[in-house]
Amino acid sequence: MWKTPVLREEAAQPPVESLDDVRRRKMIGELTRQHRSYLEGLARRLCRNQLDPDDLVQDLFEKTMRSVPPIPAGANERAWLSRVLHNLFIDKLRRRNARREDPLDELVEPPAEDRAWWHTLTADEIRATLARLPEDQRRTFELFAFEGRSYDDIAAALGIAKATVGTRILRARQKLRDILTVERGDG
Amino acid sequence: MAECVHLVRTSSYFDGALPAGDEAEAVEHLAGCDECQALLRDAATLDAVTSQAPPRAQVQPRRRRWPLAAAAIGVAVAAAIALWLAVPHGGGEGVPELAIELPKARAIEARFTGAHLGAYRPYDPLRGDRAHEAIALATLAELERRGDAPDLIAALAATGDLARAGELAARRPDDAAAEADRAALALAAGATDDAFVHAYRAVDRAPALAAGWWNLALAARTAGLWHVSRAAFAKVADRAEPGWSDEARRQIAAIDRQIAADHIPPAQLRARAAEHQASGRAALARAELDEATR
Repeated sequence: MWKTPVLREEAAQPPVESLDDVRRRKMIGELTRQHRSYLEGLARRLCRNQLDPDDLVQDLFEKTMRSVPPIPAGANERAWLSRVLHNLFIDKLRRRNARREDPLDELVEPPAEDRAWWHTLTADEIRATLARLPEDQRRTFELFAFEGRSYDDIAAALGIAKATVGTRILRARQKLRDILTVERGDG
Repeated sequence: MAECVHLVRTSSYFDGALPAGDEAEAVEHLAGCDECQALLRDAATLDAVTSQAPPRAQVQPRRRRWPLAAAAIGVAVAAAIALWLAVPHGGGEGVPELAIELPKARAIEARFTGAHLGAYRPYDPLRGDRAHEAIALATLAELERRGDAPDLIAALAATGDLARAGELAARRPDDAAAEADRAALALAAGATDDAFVHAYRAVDRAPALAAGWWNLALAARTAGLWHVSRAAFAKVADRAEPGWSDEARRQIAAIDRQIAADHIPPAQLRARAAEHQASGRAALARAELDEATR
C-alpha cells in the first residue's frame, strides 16, 4: 500500500518549518486524502502489468511536493495530477525501453501548449459538450465514463460488438478534446 | 492527415479492454508514438474530471439503471422478432430467452451492480448474510448463456457460492462496477478491509455509482465508523431510487441513534488510522480519517 511519502531532505532538516513548508505539507496532505485512491487506480490502469503502479504514484507525490506551488491556483487538482502521472508513466516507459537510468527531471509539468482546454474543466462541462456528439458515441461514452460500465457490459446492453464500443469511446474522446480545445483553449 | 492506426488499441488499453497478451505490444508502441501519448493523456484527463461528477449532477435518477435495461430489452425484443421471422413456425429451433426469476427478498445486504440482481429487493435481516437464496439452476444457466457477468457474480454469491463468484469477479476488468461487486463479495465474506479497498475504488472511479456508496456505507457501519457510513447512505438516499433510497433512510435513522450512543473521539480515530496506515491497511485508515474529520 502506498504511504505518505517522506522527502529525503525532510528527514535531514532542522526541526523548524517555515510557514510555506507547513502550508505545502498541509496542501499535500489534503491532496493525498482527496485523490490518493483515485490516482492509485489510474496508475494501475496506465501500468497494467507493464510497470509498477506504486512507484509511479510515489514519484508523483514526491515531484508534487518539490514543485512551488504544488499545483497552480484554480486548476482542477485531480486533472492536473493525472496529467503529471501520465507524463511520469511515459517517461518511465521510455527509460525502460531505452534502458537508461537518468534522473526523473523531465516531462513532469504538463506541456504549456496544451494547458488551456482542460485546466479548469468540470464534469458538468463534459456532460454539456457530450450532448453535441452523435447519439451512439454520447451514449456509449456516458455508460463507460459516468456509469462505470465495462466494454463487455455496454456491448451486451447496446447489442453491438465490443470492438465497436472501443471505437465509439475513442471517437467521443477525440471529439470532446477537439470541441473543448476550440471553445475554451487558447492553443 | 492520416491518424495512427493504433489509437483504438491505446484507448482500449487504458480502459482495460485489451486481452492481457496484447498489452505489452500496446505499451511498446505507446512509448514511441506522440499521437497515442497525447490520446492517453487526454483520456486520463477526461477520466479524472468525470470521476469527480457529483451524484446530483447525474441526469434524472431513474435514467441510471434503466437505459441499460431498456436497451437490453430492446435488443432482446429485436432478437426475438428476428428469430420469429427467421424460424419456420411450428418447427422452431430458436433458443428462447428465459425469464430471470429471483426470490422476493435478498439474502445479502450488500449491493451488486447486475441489472437483475442489482434491482431492489428488500433485505431479509432475519435470515442474515449466512442465508442463501434459492435461485434456480436454470436461472444461473441463463445468466451464463447471456454472458451477463455482473448478474452471474451476484447470483452465485446469493446462492452461497462465494468462491466461484470471487473467481469470476477477479476476471472482470478493473472498472467501477466490478469494484463495487468485489466490495459486495468482500462484505458477504466478512472481509471488511477488502470491502473498504474495493468500495473506495468504486466511488473514486464513478461517484455516481450507487452500489459503490452502498457497500462503502456497509463497510463503515461494520467498522463502527458511523459518520462515514451515514454520509455514504445519504448519497443513496438522495437519489430517490425506489426501495434502495428508502432502505438507506432507515439505515440513517438507525445510525443516528448509534452516533448519539457511541462517540469515538477524533484523536483516538487518528491514532487508529496512523496504526492501520503503518500496517498497510490504507483503505481502513482512510475511512478512519474521514470519520475523524466529520
